[in-house]
Amino acid sequence: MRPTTSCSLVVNGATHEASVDPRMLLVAFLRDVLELTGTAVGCDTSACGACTVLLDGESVKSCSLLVMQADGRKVTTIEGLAGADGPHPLQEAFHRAHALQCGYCTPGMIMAAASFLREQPDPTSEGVRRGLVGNLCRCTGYHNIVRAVLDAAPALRQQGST
Amino acid sequence: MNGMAPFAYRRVRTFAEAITALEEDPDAKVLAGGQSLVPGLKLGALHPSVVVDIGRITGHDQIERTGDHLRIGALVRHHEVATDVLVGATAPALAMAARSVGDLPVRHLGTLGGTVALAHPAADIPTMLLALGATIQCQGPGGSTRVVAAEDFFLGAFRTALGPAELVTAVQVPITGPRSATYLKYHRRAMDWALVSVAVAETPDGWHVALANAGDGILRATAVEAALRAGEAPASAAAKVGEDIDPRTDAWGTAAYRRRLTPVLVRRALEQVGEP
Repeated sequence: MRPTTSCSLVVNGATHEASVDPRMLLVAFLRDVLELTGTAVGCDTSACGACTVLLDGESVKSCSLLVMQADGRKVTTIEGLAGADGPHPLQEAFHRAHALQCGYCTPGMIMAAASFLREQPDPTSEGVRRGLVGNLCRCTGYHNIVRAVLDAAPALRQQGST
Repeated sequence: MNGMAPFAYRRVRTFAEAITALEEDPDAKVLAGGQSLVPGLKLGALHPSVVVDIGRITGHDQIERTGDHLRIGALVRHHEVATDVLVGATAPALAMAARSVGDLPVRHLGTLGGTVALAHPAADIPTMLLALGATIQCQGPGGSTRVVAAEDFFLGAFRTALGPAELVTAVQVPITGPRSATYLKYHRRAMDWALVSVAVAETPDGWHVALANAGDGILRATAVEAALRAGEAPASAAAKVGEDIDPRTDAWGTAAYRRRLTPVLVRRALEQVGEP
């Protein structure tokens, strides 16, 4: 019989308890158990960042940690980013700046940007490029992504938090 | 599942519990940040019987000044080393090295103890620690502890002085007096491991020059250090590095390329710290 262990995570504000195989990755828990498929699996080898979510407000690559590492902690996925009063400033900025084409990298890119802007609320474009090295995009050439992150920064500074 | 063989999961609350678990089962593996362990498990390269999660142990995630040293707990994340005010003030080159690890999500989870215990041949933080003359605090069976100098701790690629049931609990970095130090990492893509990297630090016993990915594991460039002690200028001292290195060919570069690259990087690093 396969070993199992129990976990309890708060995901986008809701508590979820489950009995899981210890081998289960956080991304599999989110996609397959909770059916939150906004978070994508891209490379599955920790490079592309399509799987990026927030763990207690900090970006992590959800394909690169066990769900047990998120046990007892708070996870935010792209589905949980918008507030009650509408889209998150980053979602609006990505839309305005046409910072996506196929959209596959986009949830991970936005979550990574949200975490980055929390830590560097007033970055330069060079700073944004450095801050997002963990997220790859094959479609856009990054130019509009950088613009979108810079465009969203003032609204987030005003809000004071993500 | 995910390419992994089945394993049991055990969360411990103290280093002593973790050490007991390792003693009980030689096939156990330790999980801290998991940023090397989880990818290794997914590749099917590692087959532990049990994963011992030390990530929730408290009391080992502090950065503090203890007299002449900066003491950094094993569970401090790379991101904290990279951004901590005390590190920035007393060991800024260590913050530089930490900032250059992987990417921000990796730095949010990866731990100091993890990178030190793994001793990856291209690891940024261990290379800087080697140049800074850091010491590694270890705990083993029966509550035994010992302190190992970095130059005696890092023995080669993925090889350290740690015993089978021994864990890193903290690292101490000497910080007395004005010091020049820098970390220079060369890679073609921003998230890559260093093709070669150079860490230089002025220490009480002269200049230390440490290299990543220029040999078996991270190493001190003793021929360069001797040349500096003899008063040679950066370019001349850097040219001696060929005697210290035995670079490998891999997917990111050939041995010949690394051999050409290393003296250039060493010279640049020495010029950066203003070595006369």
